[in-house]
Amino acid sequence: MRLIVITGFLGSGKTTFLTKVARRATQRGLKVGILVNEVGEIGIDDQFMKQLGLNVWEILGGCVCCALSADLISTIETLRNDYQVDIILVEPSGAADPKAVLSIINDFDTGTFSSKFQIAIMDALRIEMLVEVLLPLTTSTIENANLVFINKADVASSEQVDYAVETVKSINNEIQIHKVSMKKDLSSSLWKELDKWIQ
Amino acid sequence: MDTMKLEPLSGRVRFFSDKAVTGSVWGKLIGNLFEKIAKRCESASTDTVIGHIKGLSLFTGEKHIRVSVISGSYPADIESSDGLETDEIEFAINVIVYSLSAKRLESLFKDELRSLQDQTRIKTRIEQLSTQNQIHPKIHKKMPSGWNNTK
Repeated sequence: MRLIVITGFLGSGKTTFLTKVARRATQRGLKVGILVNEVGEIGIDDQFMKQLGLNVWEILGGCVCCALSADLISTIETLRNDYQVDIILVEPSGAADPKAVLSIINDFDTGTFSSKFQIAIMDALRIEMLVEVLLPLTTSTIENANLVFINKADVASSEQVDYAVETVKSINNEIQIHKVSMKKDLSSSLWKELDKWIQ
Repeated sequence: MDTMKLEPLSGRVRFFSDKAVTGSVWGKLIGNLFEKIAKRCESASTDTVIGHIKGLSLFTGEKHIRVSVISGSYPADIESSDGLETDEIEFAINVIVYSLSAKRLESLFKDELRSLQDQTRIKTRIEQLSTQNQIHPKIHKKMPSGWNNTK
């Protein structure tokens, strides 16, 4: 069973990307389990994904990085034991600390996952503001990721995109960075890269 | 450093029009409402950070209207399926704003619903509204003003 954790601040494009990955995996015959966490008590993203026919488990009313960490593990156990999914896609709330989420998963994982991959999505329009007011969260998102998408590259200015790239590099110089627009199709070369972790 | 307050507001609101309008018109109307709420939140405190103000209305046949606002400075992102036309619509709404209390957020939200009713022919009814007093770990701490990672 493979695991992909999709992190990023609120409104960065996580749900749009997760939906693309889930559809691709499903089209390839994989059994996909999606775990969505929202801090509000009424879920929005989970309802939207269910409407699209995806298998979604929601954890609402708090962050899986702290108050609801036990729910995160019990849901993963359910997906493993009762549904035998091939891949789990986890979307923590955009307010959750990615480092804490991964730590909780790593503490639980004693060979459950054949691979674990974290993709961070950064909003080019807002990364400067996030660095200014929520630096620990931004740092945690980037330093733990295997790959970073700079989203909204089509609507952000070139200065905003450059700033986003430089910020990511300043936190994690080794990481792969891709400038994208999640509203549009991802390139075939990018899918080729992602397929290594999906199938 | 002060810990940034995060007290989400979520709920379900029903909107009524005196005539059936398209999904696109509903999307623009809700988008405009969310933009106003975002601007009000941002002017309420200099420390305010909008996480998102997001809404979803689902219809049969995989049709939907989805509206999201991430700042008072950017227009709402609106998705609306073709072929929708209705005089009544229910939106699930999720408002996540740092540094405003749930009580203040609820008051702003209700104010803007009232303004919508006063300024248009749209009527609204809150079906459900919940607020949370949630404490997050130190990761949500605000950096000192002017602090910049690239310096």
